Amino acid sequence: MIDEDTTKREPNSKEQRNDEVPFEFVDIPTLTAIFSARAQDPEGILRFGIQKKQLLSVIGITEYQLKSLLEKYSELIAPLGLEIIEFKDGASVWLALRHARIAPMQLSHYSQSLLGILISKLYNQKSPVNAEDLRQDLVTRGFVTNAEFTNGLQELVVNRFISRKRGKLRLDVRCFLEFTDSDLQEIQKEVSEILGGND
Amino acid sequence: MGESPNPSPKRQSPEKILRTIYSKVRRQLITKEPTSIQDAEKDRQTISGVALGSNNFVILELDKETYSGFIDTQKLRDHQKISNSVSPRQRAALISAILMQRCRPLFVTLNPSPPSSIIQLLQGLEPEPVSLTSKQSPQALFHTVTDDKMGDVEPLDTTKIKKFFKKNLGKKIKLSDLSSQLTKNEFMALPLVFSELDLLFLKPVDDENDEILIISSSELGRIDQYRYESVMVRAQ
Repeated sequence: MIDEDTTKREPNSKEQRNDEVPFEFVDIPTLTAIFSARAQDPEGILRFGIQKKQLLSVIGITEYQLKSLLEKYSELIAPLGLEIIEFKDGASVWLALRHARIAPMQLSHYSQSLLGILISKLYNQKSPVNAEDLRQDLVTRGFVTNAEFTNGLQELVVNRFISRKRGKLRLDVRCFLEFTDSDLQEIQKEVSEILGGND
Repeated sequence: MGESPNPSPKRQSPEKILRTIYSKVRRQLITKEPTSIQDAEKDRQTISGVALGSNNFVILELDKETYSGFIDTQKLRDHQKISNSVSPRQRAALISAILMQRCRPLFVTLNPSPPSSIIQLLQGLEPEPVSLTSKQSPQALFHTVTDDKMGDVEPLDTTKIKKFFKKNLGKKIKLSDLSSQLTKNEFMALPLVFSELDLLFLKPVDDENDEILIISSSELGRIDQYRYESVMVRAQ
C-alpha cells in the first residue's frame, strides 16, 4: 500500500508539479473526517483535528499545495457556517474544523459555569488557581456542589479548556480557540461582577 | 446608549413582574419546550427566581431545571428585589449563559450528533447552485443569491423586508408565506438585509410544515443547534 501511494506521488509527475491539489486526490469526506477527528492520550486528554506535519506526510503534498487545498475546502464549507483553523498545541501546529459563528458549547451546564469562573480568575493572570481552594470557595458559597465541581473540572480538563498540573489550574488551548481575546475579556468582566455582587 | 434615565412611572410588585416574565419567556422560549413552565405556573412556589443578564436575557430556575429566554428587561433591571434575590445557583446559570453567548466551538466527533452540515460534508455533498423557485430550502436560496445573482440585483427599498423580519424575529414562519410576502427582487436582496440586521434562518430538523425560524445571530448560541437543519450565513 505504501508503494502504491509513493507511485501516485512521483515528484516529477504532472500532478505534483501543479500547485493545486484536486479534491479527487484527497476527497471532501476524508478531509472532513480528518479535521473533525479527535484522539485521546493515555490520560484521556483530548486532541482535536490533525497535526499539520502528519497530514502533509500522510497525503504526501507540499505545504504550498496544502494551503491551496485548504483554501478550496474553506470556500466549500463557508456556506455551511464552518471554518478551518490552524493553531499551536504545545510545540506542534494542528488543523481543525470550527463553527464560523457563535453556537452551543459541548460542555454541560455546570462545567460551563465553572469555566466562566475559571476564566474570570485566570485570564491574563500569571499565577494559577489552586483546585482545592477553588472547590472550597465555590462549594461553601453554594455555586456548585462537591460532585458538580469534581465532574465539571474533569470535563474541562479532558476537553482541553483547563489544564491541571499538581493541583494547579490554568487555561488550556481550547479556551483560546473557542473564545476570542475580547470575548474572554468580556467574560472575565461580567463573571467577576456576578461573583462579586450580593454575597 | 439607548437607556432612558430610569423613567419608572409606577413600581410593579415582584409578583406581577414574575408573572410578566413567565408569560414573556413562555412565548419567547427558545432552548426548551415550555411545558414545565406551564405546570410550574399552576404552582408558583416552584419558581425559585430569576437572574437578569445582559442583552435582555433572562434565566428562570424551575424545579431544578434552568430555562432561558429573551424579554424586555429594561423596566425590570431597576427592580432591586429581583436582582438582589439572585441565588448562587442562579448566578452559576447566568455565568453559563454568558459563555454560551460567545462560544464558537470546534467540531470534534465527541458531539452527541454531528450537525447536518458535517454529515453533508462526510457524505461528499456539495451545496448545489439552484434556480430561484418558491419551494426551496432557505439555504439553497441563499446560496443562489449570494453566488450568482448579487450582481444583478437592482437598487431596492428594503424597508418593507426589514419591517417584515423585525416583526417575525424569533418566530417560525412558513417558507411559502415568506415567498408570498416578498418579490423576487426582494429575495435577491435578502443577504444584504440579513447582513444589516444580523439575522439568520434556521430550519427545524423534523420539519414537516416547511417552516423556518428567524433569529438574530446573537441568539444562535442559546438555541439547541441539533434541532435545526441548516444555519444560514450572512452575506460576505
